[in-house]
Amino acid sequence: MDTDQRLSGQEADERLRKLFQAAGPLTAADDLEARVLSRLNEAPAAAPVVVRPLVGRWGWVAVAAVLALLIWSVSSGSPSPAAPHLPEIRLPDMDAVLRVATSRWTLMGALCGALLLLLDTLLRRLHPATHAA
Amino acid sequence: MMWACTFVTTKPGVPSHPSTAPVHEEQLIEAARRGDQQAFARLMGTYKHMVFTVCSRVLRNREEAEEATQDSFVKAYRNLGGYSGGSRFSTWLYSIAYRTALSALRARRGGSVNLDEVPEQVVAAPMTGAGKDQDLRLVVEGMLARLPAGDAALLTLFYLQDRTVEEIVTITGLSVSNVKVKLHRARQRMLEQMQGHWKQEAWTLIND
Repeated sequence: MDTDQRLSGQEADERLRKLFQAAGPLTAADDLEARVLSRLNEAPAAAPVVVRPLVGRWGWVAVAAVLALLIWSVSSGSPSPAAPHLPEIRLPDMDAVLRVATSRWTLMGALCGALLLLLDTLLRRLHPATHAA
Repeated sequence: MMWACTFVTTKPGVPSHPSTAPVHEEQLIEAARRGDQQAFARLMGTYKHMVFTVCSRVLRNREEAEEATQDSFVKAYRNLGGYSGGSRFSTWLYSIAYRTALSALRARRGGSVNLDEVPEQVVAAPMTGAGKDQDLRLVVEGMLARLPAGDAALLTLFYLQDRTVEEIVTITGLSVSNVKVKLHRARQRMLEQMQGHWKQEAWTLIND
């Protein structure tokens, strides 16, 4: 033991190296290669990243319609923005319905919706893989 | 000494030193990179024991180490394109193995891991008389089991694999100074053990 305690760093390294290399590594399972290859072959191909629009086609239509309605309701016949009120729409009165449908706000809202749909369609065509179902 | 040298060259799973490495290793890597799984299987055959040993040192559980070894090779195969050849293939592979085992350990413990923890009391494996190499392996395993997992891994890389400090830095991600300090401490602990319980068995087997 005394001799061991006086070992220089180099001697200690040599002895330990000799010890480790004589003992060798641990033994892995014989069928490890087969298991790994099996895993490599079983692994499914990476699924493509599917990016779906947050708001669907009809969602945009609904949003455009609601926006148009809101803009129209605020901008028409309301003298004070502090006290807006809903327009009186009497269902039997087709004139009022037509006024709403043909107002510039409604048309602009519809136009915005159409443009957004066009943009969405264009993006789908440019990146078909990312839009796959 | 002659016996030890002969033993090393015939030991399965100890990859050869670069000077004696098979000249076609690069070809196997290139073939595996192109998707040749048989070429990759040959690489696995060369390195599986050492990868398993690295994983075992960190995890200290045979089943988990086997799982981590498989994971390491799967990761290696899928990331072969990222191996630039700047370091030895084995260094790159052991780096994957070390980090995979560390991740497995982290998952087992549910968070952070401390590879410097001194293990609880370990029961020394009895000598079996099954043969010199088997007994020597038990002696080394017994000594390593009493060391922190990090120390056991570093000692294995340094002494069994003849890795330089710089290569161990690449494998473990530790700093140069950290590796040197840990290696010095681990060597001291190992020598203390050799001077204690395992002294007689270890030196008898080495010098036999």
